[in-house]
Amino acid sequence: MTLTTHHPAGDGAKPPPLPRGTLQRRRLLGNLSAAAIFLTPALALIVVLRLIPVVQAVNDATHTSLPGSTLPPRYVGFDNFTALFSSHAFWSSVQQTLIFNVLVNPLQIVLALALAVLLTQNLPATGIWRTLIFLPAAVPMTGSAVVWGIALRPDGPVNAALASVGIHQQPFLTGQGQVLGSIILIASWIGVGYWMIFLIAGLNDIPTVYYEAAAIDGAGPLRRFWSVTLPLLRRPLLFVLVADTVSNFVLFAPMQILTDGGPQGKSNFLMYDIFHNSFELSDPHTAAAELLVLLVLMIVIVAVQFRLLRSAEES
Amino acid sequence: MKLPVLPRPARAATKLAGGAIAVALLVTGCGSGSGSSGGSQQPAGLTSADALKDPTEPVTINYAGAAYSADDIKPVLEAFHKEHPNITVNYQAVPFDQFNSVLSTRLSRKDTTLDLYDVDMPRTDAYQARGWLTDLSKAFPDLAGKVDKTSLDAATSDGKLVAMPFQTSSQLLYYNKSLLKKAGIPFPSAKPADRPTWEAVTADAKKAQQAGAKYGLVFDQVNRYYQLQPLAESLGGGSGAGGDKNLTPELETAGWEKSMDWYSSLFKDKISPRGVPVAQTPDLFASGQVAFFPGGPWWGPKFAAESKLDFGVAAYPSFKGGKAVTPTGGWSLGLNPASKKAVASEIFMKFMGLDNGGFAQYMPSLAVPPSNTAGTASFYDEKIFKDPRMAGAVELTKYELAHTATLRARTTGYVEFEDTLSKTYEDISNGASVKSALSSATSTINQAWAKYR
Repeated sequence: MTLTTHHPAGDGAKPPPLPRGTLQRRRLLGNLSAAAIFLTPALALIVVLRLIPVVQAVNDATHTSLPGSTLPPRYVGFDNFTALFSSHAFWSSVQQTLIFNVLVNPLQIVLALALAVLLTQNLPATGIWRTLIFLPAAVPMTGSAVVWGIALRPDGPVNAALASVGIHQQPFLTGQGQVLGSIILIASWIGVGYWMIFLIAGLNDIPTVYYEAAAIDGAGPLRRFWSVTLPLLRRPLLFVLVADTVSNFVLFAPMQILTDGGPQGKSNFLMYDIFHNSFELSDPHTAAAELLVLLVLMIVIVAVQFRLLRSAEES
Repeated sequence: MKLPVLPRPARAATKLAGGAIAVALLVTGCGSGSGSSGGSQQPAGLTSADALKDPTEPVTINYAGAAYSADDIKPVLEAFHKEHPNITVNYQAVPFDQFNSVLSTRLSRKDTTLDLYDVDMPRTDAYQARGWLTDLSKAFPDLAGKVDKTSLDAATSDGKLVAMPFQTSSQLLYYNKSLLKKAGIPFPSAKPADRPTWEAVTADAKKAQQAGAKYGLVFDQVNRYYQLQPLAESLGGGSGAGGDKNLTPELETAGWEKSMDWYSSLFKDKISPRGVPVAQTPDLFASGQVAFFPGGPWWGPKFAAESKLDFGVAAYPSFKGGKAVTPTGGWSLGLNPASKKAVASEIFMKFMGLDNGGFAQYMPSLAVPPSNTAGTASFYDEKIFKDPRMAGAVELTKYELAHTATLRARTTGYVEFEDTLSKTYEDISNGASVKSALSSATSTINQAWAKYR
């Protein structure tokens, strides 16, 4: 960028000095335009990939048409929401989604943290262990789901292993009492190693001087973990918690591949139900209404998580 | 119509590739909405079949199919390209489970890059109501007599011909001879008059299991209305839909409850395994673990390819004292009203459904009867029916199509109906109470059908 200054015409006279304000304003303007240029690609992507779809979802949610119809949809205001809120299946879907998330997120974080701490302890062959634990995250989710589906079949290998130690056949994915647990198992098998990697990075960032100081003060390993590790791991932990929550809210493949939301709707989580309504039943309007409900749920929960960890930081 | 169409072992790779293609289709199908107002149901340039002329310039038409894999349909397309050098058919195979989503995405947005697509026969009314189909009454005015009556009925909606039927279907009861011999069970006869009863098959299945069979009786399509509708129908329970325009669910009938009690008991008594998806059932029979397997004749080539597997076929059973009812219906070709290549598409439709007996003559291992009456005759000469293990299959199929074949419920709300029933069958097989499963299906379907009434 070139800044040309305009000289007032003067014959040989020195140009009068510019008032200081203008110079600052110019500099500010220059900075602002530079910032704008650097930010444009990111902002454009946010608008195209995030904001426009949300506006579209609101538009879809307030219209209706016969499923799959090629006729233009009619405006119906909040009718789709009232229909949803009076549907028993929808509330059961919300309930199952919340139960699943309340169980799976803390479980995954605790396991990932435990593994991360374990694998930063200078064990022999740490690299191999880390790779093995991370591996499931590198396998496509569909592949993992299919393999687990076969493993957990009532006549499958897992039950065969249980039978050899005297436990009788478990229904797993086919039992309404066990389907949630089975999906938590599959999701965690994939997720735990992935989040562990972030936490390992966070642990390695903690300067060892703190540990040395704590050790000199006579703190034991547990005390060191509570008073040094956890407070200094708060940022990566917050990121992992939020990202994990979001990814479990939009988990979809295992239900699509293994359970179709069953048995008796017990794994009919919102994201699966949204896909199902939109693509299998060709009703994008109900799906969009559900999507907005899911969005609100997620925003509320993530906001609470931020609040909790931030207030811990301030205290 | 749920015809899994991988006569070869379905490898995971094919599935994944299929999935990838479907996703690609979904993606390409997005964002081509023309946003014009409600559809006139006629693509430009629709011509009567007698006046069809091949284009003088090269034309490519896109055909999304779920009835056949790309490999299976290859010989048909090659024959067509030889006969009509200026038309290229670009076949996009979509796995059945994703087919409805792909069609819904592309057709409701009036995607002009899709010309022809397979229409699952029971969905004809639903697709017609959505404006996805083209009225072909003027293009093909005289199909009667050229295709079988059931297929023609299935391709007609509101009295208009809206699709070109090309394939119908029937079912058989396969049984594993080695397992029956081990249990001392006499082989069932293949004559239609000696149709076995479900009660007798269940008893024999248990006997076979005591003698070492892993499973007694496994349905090919454990959770699909296509194969399970005849259970309720056999006991007089009806198709499950009735009332005005077939938009009232009728699932809480004695016939449905009794037949579903029996279905539920198969899984409770471990005669059938829980949690085996449809894609994996044929392999259980092919590997010799199952005594009785009610399934499509299209599995014949797969089973016959197992040299160690000794099997026979019998009539699809009915309940004791009940009606003989068998699944039927198959696929038609639909023309997208948004298509810009009506003439080339019509030429291909005619080739598939009518010309010299239709597509079946080019498919060396077709195990499902074509809709075309002339094509049916040559179909029964297929190599697979010469296999001694398939003895009696031809007479059975002919008999069933003429006497016991029963179409699935016809309703504009078929998509939701079938979808809910799949989940209901699954819940029942997993041990849900039959009464509560049928009543919750009724309320789900009622809720979904409110928009159509």
